[in-house]
Amino acid sequence: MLPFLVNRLAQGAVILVLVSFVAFGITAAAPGNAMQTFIDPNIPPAELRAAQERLGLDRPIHVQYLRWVREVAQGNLGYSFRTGRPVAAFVGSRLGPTFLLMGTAFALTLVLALWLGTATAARPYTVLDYGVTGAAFAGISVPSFFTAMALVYLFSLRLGWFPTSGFEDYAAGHAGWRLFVDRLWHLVLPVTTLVLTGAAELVRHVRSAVLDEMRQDYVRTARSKGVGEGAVLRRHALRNSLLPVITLVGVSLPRLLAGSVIVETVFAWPGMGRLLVESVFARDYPVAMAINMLGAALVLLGSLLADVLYAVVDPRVRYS
Amino acid sequence: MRRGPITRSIHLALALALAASAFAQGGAQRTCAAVGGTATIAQWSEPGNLNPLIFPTTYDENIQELVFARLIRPTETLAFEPDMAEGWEVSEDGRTLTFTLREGLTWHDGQPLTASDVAFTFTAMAHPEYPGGRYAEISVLEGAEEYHAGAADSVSGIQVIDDRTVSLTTVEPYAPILPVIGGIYILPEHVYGAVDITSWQQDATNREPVGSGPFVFQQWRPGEFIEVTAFDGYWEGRPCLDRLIVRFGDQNTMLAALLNGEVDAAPVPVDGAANVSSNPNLELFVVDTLSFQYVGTNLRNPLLADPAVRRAMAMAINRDAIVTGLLQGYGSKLDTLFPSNHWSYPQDLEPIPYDPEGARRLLEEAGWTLQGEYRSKDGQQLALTLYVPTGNQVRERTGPIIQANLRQVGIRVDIESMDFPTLVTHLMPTDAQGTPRAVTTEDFDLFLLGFGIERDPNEYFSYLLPEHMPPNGFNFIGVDIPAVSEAMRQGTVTLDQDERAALYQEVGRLMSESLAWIPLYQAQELYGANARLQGFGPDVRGVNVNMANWSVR
Repeated sequence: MLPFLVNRLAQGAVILVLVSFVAFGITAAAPGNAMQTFIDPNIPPAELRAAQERLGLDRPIHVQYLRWVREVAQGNLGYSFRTGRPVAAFVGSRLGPTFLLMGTAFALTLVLALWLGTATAARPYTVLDYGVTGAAFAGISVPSFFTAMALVYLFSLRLGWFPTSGFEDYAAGHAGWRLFVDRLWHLVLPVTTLVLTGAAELVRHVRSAVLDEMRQDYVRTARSKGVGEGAVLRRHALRNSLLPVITLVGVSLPRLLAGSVIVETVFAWPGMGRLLVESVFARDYPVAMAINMLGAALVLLGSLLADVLYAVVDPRVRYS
Repeated sequence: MRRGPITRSIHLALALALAASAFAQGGAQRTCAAVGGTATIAQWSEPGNLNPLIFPTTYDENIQELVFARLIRPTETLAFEPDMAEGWEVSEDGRTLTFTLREGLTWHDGQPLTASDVAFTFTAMAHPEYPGGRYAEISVLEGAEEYHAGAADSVSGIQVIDDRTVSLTTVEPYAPILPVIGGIYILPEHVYGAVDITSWQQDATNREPVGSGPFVFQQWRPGEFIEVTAFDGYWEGRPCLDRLIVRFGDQNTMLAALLNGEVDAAPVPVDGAANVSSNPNLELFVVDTLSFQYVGTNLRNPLLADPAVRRAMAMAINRDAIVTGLLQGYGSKLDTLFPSNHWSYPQDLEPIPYDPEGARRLLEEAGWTLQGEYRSKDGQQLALTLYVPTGNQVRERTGPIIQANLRQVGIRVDIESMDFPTLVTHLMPTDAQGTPRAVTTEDFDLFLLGFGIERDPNEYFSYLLPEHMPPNGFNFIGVDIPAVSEAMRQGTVTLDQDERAALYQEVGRLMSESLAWIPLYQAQELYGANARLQGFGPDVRGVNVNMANWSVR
């Protein structure tokens, strides 16, 4: 196991370097740069050029890239072009809210999908199955911004149960457990949006994986031994159908921290997804690069984690 | 709350002449409908930084206005009135303005505010290493160029006379000097002077500003909000509110928050106007602005160099339909490149008619004959590409309308959408090495863009003069009309306001004939405010202009 891990981590490092190269190239290839977003009659082009020179934006892309690599190698992620903030702290401050939002949503998605997926696989082609399948297709087809706005319209504007947006009630300035409850309250609608779209996809995977297992010989054996249907489902079929689910969980890990661009924007959530969009539109490369690299690192980590979990869950899988 | 046009209402020369007697009464006591409480307002984008001398945007300035103060400030009619200066005097030769600060001014941290803070601020803008982009504004001060070039230790045109008196001297009499001074927020020397000017762009003072304005900065949570609290020592009296919170979010998100009572005031997109006006808790504010949208034409392109083609385009575009349809009536069309509610706008202007038949006739007379759906001349089709920058929904939707209108008169228009920085790479092109170069026929044909007067029509200078074509300025379209250039040059040195207004109005007439900028429409800004918030009164100067008088029930 250890050589496998070392090997994979080394591969990961190489891939990260390649990703940084491509990501920087694509980001820098976008027309225009940070200073060109300031066209102001009171600021002549000569001043804009001077500012571009200070930021190194007048240099060829490969020179800019090498400078970025050199800085990052020394642990310096640089400063945001748009705000002048140190990138590490700027991006870091967005991690918490995104993790809270995506983590909650992901846990609930998993629970809901496993429950409904198993339930529908246990009674395929029944009213429940058709109902869940229909709802799942609707969930997959409806874009999340629409779901989000529909929820806001219904539960905030019509019923007045939940706030429309934000991380907390800023004017109230809550502290302690009141702040905790207030934040939970603000979490409900964005999390619901993410769960509705996320579970819709996952429930289909779980259902078909469990159905596959239910047709296996060992399930028939278990049944013929007289094991109850509930135990067959939970102890035998579900456990074995977790393998594909683990893969999905592994690749979903980066989404936990990279955030959801759309949901964070619609709910004015102070997360990474929103920051990424803002920095791309402002051509704020240091910030966009930091988020891209974080996302890439998490994809690698997620797939490694999935591989390790395979070995844990499935004794047939051995890495040597 | 619709306001009519402000006609020729800035009387700069008058202001200059009366300056000696312009000393206002100090120690004004504020009348509040209620004192205390917290108000929450929204804006659509987060500020980049809160140092007013670092590349300010409108979103930055809306917040800077809460925390900082200026020597003088614009009035509702866009003249200038005393702010931290209680008055000013103009020298005989018109080159020196001497400002007297109010008594007992302090910074938010309790330090006294003196003339040397003022000198520090203006001098910093001329510093050879100053990174904020605003040097050009004060380069007219005597000795600024020498100091900026590193050939002098100070700017000779900035003189501290005593703790409360500072004088500013220009090289030549400079007509728009008050608009320049009225646009510069004063920074505390004891805070910003302690930071190396080369690191101003990154320094923490950008995030935790110390000013002398009505509100004291408290905190800024990126992606969420900025919080400020009332400044007890504000010269004009403590603001009515205890606390003001400014949230940032997407247009529709902030509209929902307004409708749900989570924010007390927010800008409203045109599509949301009906939701706000039909809500019993909300009031819709309709505010005139000094900005407008136009079609820019690349005059280097032989097709567009033909005045008949530009005139035909202007006559073929149904601007009334844009105003009544897209703007839902919240705006008006305009016939030249100055906003119609500004004193630079010639009110006697011949309106550009909507006349597709006349446009067809003009094109026929100029030799453009129909070949199928579109016109041609000498084997060349009358086909143009219109660049549409994204980000302003109403403007984006005018693209297809213009396309359809022009097709009706036989002009083919292809639309390309792009974000603003991409458009800039076409308007201000660079060569393969990244060095800025001159614009050519190939760089663009037509583009949609907005322009607005921030403080003074002199801001058009680098858009209209031939020596300011890229890479040396923003004359993207390549306009070169000697009479326009001459009037613009005279406009910077003519101190008499009536004469000055006549000069810019002449520019307006000439540009309406030329149609190098095809003027489209002037949109009004919409804001919604909760009945809980009293005294909210955005005007042509901005949304937060009277925030010290806001109160909550």
